[in-house]
Amino acid sequence: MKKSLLFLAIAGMAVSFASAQHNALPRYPGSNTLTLFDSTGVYMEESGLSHILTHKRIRPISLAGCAGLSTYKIDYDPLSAYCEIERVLVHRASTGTTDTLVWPGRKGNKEVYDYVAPARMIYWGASQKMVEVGHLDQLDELEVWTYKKGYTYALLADNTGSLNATFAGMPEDDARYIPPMKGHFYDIVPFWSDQPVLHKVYQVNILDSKHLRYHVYNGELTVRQEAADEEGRTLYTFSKDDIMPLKREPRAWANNDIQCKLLLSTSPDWQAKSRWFFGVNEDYGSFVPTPAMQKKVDELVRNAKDELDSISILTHWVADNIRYAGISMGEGEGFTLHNAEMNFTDRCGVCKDKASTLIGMLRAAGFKAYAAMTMAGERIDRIPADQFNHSVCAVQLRDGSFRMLDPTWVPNVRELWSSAEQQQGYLIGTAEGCDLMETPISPAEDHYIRIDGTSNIASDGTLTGIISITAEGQSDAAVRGIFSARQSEWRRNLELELLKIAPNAEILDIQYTDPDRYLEQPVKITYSYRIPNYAVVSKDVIEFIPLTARNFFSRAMGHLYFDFSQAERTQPFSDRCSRMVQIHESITLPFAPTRFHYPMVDGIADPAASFGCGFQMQGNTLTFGEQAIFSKRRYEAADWMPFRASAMAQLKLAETPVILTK
Amino acid sequence: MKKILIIAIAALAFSTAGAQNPDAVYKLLRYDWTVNADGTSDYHYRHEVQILRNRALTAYADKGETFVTYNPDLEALTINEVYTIQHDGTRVDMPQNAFIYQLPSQCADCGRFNHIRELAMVHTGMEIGCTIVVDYTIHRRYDLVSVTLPLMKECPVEHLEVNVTVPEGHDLNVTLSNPKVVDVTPNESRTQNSYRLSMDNLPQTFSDSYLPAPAQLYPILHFYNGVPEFTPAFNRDGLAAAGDVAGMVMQSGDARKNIASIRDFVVDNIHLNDLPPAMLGYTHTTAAQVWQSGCGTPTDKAVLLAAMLNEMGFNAQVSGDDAEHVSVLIDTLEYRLSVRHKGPAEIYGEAKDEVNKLDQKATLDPEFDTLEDGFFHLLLQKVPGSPAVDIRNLSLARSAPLQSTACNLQSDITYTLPKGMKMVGDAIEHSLNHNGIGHVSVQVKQSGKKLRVVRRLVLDKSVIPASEYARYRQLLAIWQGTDKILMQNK
Repeated sequence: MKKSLLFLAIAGMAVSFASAQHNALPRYPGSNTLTLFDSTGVYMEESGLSHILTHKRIRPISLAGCAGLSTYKIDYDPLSAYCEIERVLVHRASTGTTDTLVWPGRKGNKEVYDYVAPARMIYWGASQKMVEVGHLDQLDELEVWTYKKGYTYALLADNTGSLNATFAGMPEDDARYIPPMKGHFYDIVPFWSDQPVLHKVYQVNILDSKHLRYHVYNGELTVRQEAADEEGRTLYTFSKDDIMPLKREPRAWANNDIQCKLLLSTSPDWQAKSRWFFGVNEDYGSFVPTPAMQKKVDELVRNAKDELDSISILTHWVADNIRYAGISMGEGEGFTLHNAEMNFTDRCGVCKDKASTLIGMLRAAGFKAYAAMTMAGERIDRIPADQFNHSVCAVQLRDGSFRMLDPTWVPNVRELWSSAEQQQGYLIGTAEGCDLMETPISPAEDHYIRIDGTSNIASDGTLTGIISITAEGQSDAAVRGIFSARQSEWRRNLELELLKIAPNAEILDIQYTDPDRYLEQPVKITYSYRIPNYAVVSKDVIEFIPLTARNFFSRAMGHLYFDFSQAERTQPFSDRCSRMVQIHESITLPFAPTRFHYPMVDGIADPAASFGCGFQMQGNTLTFGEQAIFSKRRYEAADWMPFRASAMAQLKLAETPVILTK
Repeated sequence: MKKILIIAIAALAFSTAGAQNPDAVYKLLRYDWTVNADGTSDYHYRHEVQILRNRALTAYADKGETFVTYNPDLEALTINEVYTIQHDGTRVDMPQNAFIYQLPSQCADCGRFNHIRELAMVHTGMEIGCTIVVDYTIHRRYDLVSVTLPLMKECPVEHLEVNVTVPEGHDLNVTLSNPKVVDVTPNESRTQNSYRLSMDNLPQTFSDSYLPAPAQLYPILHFYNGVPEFTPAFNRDGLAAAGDVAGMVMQSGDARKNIASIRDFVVDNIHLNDLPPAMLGYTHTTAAQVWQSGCGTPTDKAVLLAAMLNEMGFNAQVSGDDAEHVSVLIDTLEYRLSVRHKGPAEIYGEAKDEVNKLDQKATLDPEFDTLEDGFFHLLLQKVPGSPAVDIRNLSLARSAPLQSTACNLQSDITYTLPKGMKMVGDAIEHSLNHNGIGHVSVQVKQSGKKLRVVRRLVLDKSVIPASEYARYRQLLAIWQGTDKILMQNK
């Protein structure tokens, strides 16, 4: 009955719109489809179960759009959700007729395929239902109704966000469709699209006693709130017209951070969510160590120097020895962290399972440790909806403070918490309940790259010398990325870092720190070389680019790979991590020049990014130095100018020679 | 004063032990094909792979899962055993939830292949020093086997076995290509109805850039007991709409461009489900069904393409041993189109000039980069036809052959300089001759207001053996090493 009411309400909204827009001509160059309307209706029950009915009408407006709509699919997890593609119609523009592909009770419906979707890395049996729509011509229109109940957790959510679906009246046990935070409802609804949408509406019918909270971010919606037909319920309707694709600037923040979205939640605050997350995993016993795990922990920390050393040993053991591959535990998968027995036997898992392995091991070592949720790549906003796609760990130190640990992001990395996750929201699950927090900016000097050189230019232009690189933090991991390849490729990878900037180089020797013992020291790689014809030398001119300035090991300098063609930008942007580049070289010349022509590069001084360089001549020795600092991971649009100027200054020095004359 | 440049490559003081320290090793790799007298066949596979380094677990972890794709309509998969032996000898059996039967990605978006399955086996208990054992059998309801099997893998193989058995009355044809490319002696035994091969200590495949095709690099076993009767035919029923679209994409008066346009449409707009014909029992679907569904195998796409071309009045047929091509006759010339790739339609069988040739003489206006205080870089144009190999991607030593381009290039360019512009330093003259590989010379000399740049490159072969790589690199270093000249205008 409830489903029927929902269907009629959604249909009513859609039909009136469709007839007004049916004859609209496409005016969206560069787009492949035009969605005439996209309607979602949610009916939530007391237990937290919700019905979700969607109704869409889409017109392909290019050949690629026609090809893209030859099938229609929806994603779901059969353990936690039930869904149906209920109705599918194709309105043919050329004939004015409508083909019915799927209709309830109709004989000769097209088959609705139901299968485990192709997967890599996460093998939880996430499924799809698919209808083969078949060939469409441009201006045909595909109209689809779907029904869903249940929920989708963050790791498997599609771009429409996680949905809670409740259903009443289905002839089966619905307990598994009740979302894990029982009695609650939350949703993340994007009101943006990479294809044009003429009209989008989202409606939720909810008990007044649930005290729904919502907020619209990065834009405006038309909001209507009214009493529902059933007593004690309220109908909230959110809508927006003419959603146009945003022309994204390179490296812009995620769409949900800069485009219009709606967050809804009945959870009163983040503390409630924290307590729930704590309880569900403690009740399951996710973190109880097994005897085998205890034995391993005792062995690992036997010679640990102090508290932090123990934490580091255990974090890196989990990071480096529990590989990332997810298999399902069955009921509870997605929000329940696998227990120690499963993790330690399987030696594999997704982020939450790696986190729970670490928590179990830390507790076995006597620490207080907790699971936490976070969102990699997007901001978490204040409405306590399920804005998480990643799980990590928090350990409490003796002084009472918490230290964040991420065993998923630090394999072969010298950190305990990856600074590629700085400025990132997280929520620790504790019995008392925690509020949402954010990891701080990691200082650029914690991610230094230092390139040092000593060289000599002979009168025939041959350059000989030594160049070395050392790095720390995320920069250390980036440099040591050379050793993440097969060992048979190491030599070649090392050679190519120098040959890329000096193809004529003869590499006399390469020394490097042991990559397998990366925890003992930051990486250092030193080359001895000889490069014929490196400099142009005549009786009174020397022309060359200092070797250290030529973006040696640029693989560790992500800021150099941005698109700098635009001098200004309107959208905030992100790099992988903050970093500092320091370069120094001392060059002995074949004669002492009297006139110096150095590259003209302006210094930059800004909290977001800075750059400086200098040349000093003493006798026939030239000393060169350069420093670039990029202070954050997430930048505002206004930070683009200093960021761009600093990176471009470094690029200019890499390509512009020093010219010294008598 | 002429300056003759000879580049000597110093020995690299660096351990070459990397090639001897693989990240994993196949202790055993075994393939068995048995054709049965009842018209069925069995394929049995076993591997035992030992993980030696942590990066085989974390950084690329390509041994962590095993995938087996099969068609349940024609094939039955049996897992005989799968487990991990840890370093201390503990056996870890895979739990049931580590076997996931899913749709293979190559079957996505096409209902008629939705029944095909991929078993993902997620290996558990992995650690450094562990050995993963995988053993399964596929029973097939057909008795035709035609197999091309590369024998080398991405890590070394200590022991390889291949066994093929066919019943009486079947002809077994076997070819082992390139048996001597690696220093491993194959042990073969053949009878009328069987073939056995074993090889020990096969090295891992190359991972260098600019590699020749695998067929030139590695030993490959090819065998078959018959040729499938697979001659895809088509009719044009139900293709009126396809014809309309074909007419829409043809925008040229040139027939060759038009057939390429229709081919491009099929490549771009019909989803490719890349399944081998054997998995589908050497069947294909009709052009109309391919059109209607918007998806198909390479053969399906070829059938549709041929039908669409015929709709447009061209004489087209599905062709090629792989049934993935379409031959089109235009003015007595046969053009062959692939349904995988776009590009100009080329005449089938046309001899291609394997050697890039150029004899260029010209006077050009110079292009400058302005430096400081009256200094400039004069930018030299790239010589057309130069090998696409970039020396910046070439390490100093190499154990794999390199795919280059044979060429005979002569470029003589004179730049007319602005008044007062002078080349800094002496005239440049580099040359090098390596018999059997080629020779190179680069000369740059200023006379008055003229700057003359003469460059010559001859490479005698397109595939450079590893033994000649260092000398090839020297030639390329000279060829690519001079791309700008320092000038001064006082």
